[in-house]
Amino acid sequence: MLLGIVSFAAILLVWESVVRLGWANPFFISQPSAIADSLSRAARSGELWNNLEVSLREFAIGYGASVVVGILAGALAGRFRIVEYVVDPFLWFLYSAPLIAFYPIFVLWFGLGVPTVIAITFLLSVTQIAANTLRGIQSVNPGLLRAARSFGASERDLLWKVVLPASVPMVIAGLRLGIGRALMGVVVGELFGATAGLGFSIAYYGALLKTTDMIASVVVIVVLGVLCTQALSAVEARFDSWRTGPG
Amino acid sequence: METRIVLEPAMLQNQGSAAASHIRVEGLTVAYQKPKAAGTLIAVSSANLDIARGTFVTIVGPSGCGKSSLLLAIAGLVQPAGGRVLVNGQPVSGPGRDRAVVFQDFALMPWRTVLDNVRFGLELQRWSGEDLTARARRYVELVGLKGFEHYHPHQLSGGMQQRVGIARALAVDPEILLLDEPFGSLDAQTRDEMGSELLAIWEQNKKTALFVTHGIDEAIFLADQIVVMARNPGRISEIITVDLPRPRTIETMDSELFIEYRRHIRACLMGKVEQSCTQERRF
Repeated sequence: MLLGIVSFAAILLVWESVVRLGWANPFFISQPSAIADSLSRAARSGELWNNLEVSLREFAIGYGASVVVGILAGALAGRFRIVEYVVDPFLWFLYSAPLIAFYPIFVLWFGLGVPTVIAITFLLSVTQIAANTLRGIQSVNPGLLRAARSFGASERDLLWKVVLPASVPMVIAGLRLGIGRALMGVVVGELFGATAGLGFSIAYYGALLKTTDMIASVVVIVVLGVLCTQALSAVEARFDSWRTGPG
Repeated sequence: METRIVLEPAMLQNQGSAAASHIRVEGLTVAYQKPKAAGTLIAVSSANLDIARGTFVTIVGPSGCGKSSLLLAIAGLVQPAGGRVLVNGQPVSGPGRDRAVVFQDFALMPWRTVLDNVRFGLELQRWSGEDLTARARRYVELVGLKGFEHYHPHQLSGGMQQRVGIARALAVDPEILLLDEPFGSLDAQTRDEMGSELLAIWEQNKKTALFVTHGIDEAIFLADQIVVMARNPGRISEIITVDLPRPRTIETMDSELFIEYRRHIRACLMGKVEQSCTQERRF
């Protein structure tokens, strides 16, 4: 952890120095101090908050819907064979296909803008969450189910006292992977057809060849991703202490 | 040499009525559908057995002789293909409160602490009128795990995990304790210790116990009666009454009588080990 901070600071230092010493062209790689300036300027003008709000809303709706739909679909597929046979081909298809290819179709359906971004965000993360939930439920140790049955467990007991708690680690891992994919969905969606948002501002400043402002937006997205993943790791530690806890 | 060993026929039809024996197995056949291939695996073939209340019975035999299947059928976890199991004269159709099982792989819920694992059976059987946690705590202490109540299974050794398994089974106060190779995955020394401790616990209230093992010494050490099984197909080949005095200690294993039992059972099993694993029948 400490070493990580040190190496991160060292890279920033080297980056800043090579530009200041004139060894590298700031047009291509900018420099940390200029990026910090750009960020504080964007924060003061309100541009940063505006973009952040748009992107966060798209993320929240797209990811939130995929959490609900993904866990529900995965759980039903894990519980009922019939549902599994129906859901499975879609999961495989969506899992192996480069989903970005759907983007133009979504534009056709929803037009350029927020709905399309939400749709691509949802699609990218829902498969991960559903697949993990399904796998979590399917990989419950049959020995545990048998032990529960030996004490007279009903189907309901099996679900609540064995299947669901046993699959929590896999479901949460799916939620964490889903965050990364949802953020990717937001950024990619905004790169191509949006009028606001962090992805949009990357594309916008990129087109204007304003490297510093562009990298500033990238930094915000990276920080956002780190924060979301950290939040989920905290949740994971809470529910998953029996597996990851001190041993 | 074998004068002191009492041999009984496998068919014990004259030994009292069904009501007199605690567990009665009548013509039990257990078969498994083999995946993919259109065949059936006969695990147990027309087994007959009577177990009296309060006796400790061990089932010994080579792997694949159907000893676990026999136990699981008595537990009600496996449906017989033929014949039936009676407990207190009532046919068994599934798991019941009168029986509790200890599994070879422990089958503890990894997300539950030791205490909550022992509570597990009590919760499933909807025990009421008593503080479940207090009851679970008593059984955790009984198996010598006081101080480990809040550990998770992965923090314990195999022997300690199986103590939890035993506590979980005893906590629901069953009439019959069914143990499916409970010490099979433990090292030899731990196995001997666990055997002695299990006997000490058993002697406090003498529940009817059925214990499956492939260890001959373990089978003799624990048992009032040993059921010897053979393969091809899985069947009961012999039932031996063990006349070693109780309480037994590790020294019991050095007695001449013990060695005689061991020699006899080994001879019993030797004739069969060359044969193929289980009979296969195609329909």
